Amino acid sequence: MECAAPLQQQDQTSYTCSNEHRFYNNPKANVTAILRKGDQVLMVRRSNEPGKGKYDFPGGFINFGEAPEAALVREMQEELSITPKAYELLSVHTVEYLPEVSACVIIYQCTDWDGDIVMLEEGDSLRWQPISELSDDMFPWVYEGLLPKLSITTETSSP
Amino acid sequence: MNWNYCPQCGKQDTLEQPNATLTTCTACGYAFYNNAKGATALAFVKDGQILVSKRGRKTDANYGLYELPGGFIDFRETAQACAVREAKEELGVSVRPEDLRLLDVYHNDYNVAQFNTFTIDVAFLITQWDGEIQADDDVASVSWKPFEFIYDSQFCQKYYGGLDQRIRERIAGTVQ
Repeated sequence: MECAAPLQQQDQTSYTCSNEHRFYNNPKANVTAILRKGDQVLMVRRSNEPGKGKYDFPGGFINFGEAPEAALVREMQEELSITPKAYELLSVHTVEYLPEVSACVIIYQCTDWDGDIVMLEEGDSLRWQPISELSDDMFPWVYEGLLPKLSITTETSSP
Repeated sequence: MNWNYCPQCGKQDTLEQPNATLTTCTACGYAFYNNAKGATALAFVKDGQILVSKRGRKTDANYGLYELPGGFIDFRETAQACAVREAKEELGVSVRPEDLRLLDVYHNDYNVAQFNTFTIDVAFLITQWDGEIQADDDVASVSWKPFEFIYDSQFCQKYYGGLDQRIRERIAGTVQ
């Protein structure tokens, strides 16, 4: 912090010390990818807390100064050794990542990529899950309204 | 971060910054990730023009320049709730969540003084609202401009390339 005076919480987001230095605990921006193979999506079992042992879509936090699509490409290269080729923005969610960290999750749906999927970090197991078998309680946090959106996309994209 | 004291152990001058995102403490091992923060940008569109607001708070970044209305997402707040709240706070109008159409997401530089911050702006198209738009809160004035104004030197959000095209596609109905 700028000085050694303790921060007092002002509201759900802002903290101020007695010298008027401020800290804003806004949601951290994250990119997440739903990799599609027909009506299946790729899920990764998390090898780290929070949510260790639960299945989630691959992704990660956006770096300082990084563009969202650049973060998507970087995260997929780091975690799965692939480079996304065809993707589009699907939805944006706020999730409770940790009690003191809220995350603004930007979800891209990705239908084509270069390279073979190899799990490099953050996960210890992969699976292709049919969209019809997804349920909100599988995930470590709630992506409100996502699953209906995914089923709609399946219906409209099938021949 | 421009911090002198570790937020965890309180020691002075023990912080190092290995990269633009990470700050670590050599004394206690604390790690702070200054990731991009979630924010919203509101694209109000009427008669082929977009609403821009003039930044009105002298102590804030980019004072006197134009931007899309919007702001930082609060802790645990959804982008949609933030957009509705900012429309009310900055412009005095009511927007229904179902009238927000997701356009795209962009990064945006807000890196001044104590706000050592990059944002990720979730942009929504809004073509329906209730009430008369009036500048309020930290907005000095509002004006309607052609979509291309987002590329003008007086417009301070520098990374919104393609937003004008996204708006046109949405309005024409070519993108769901």
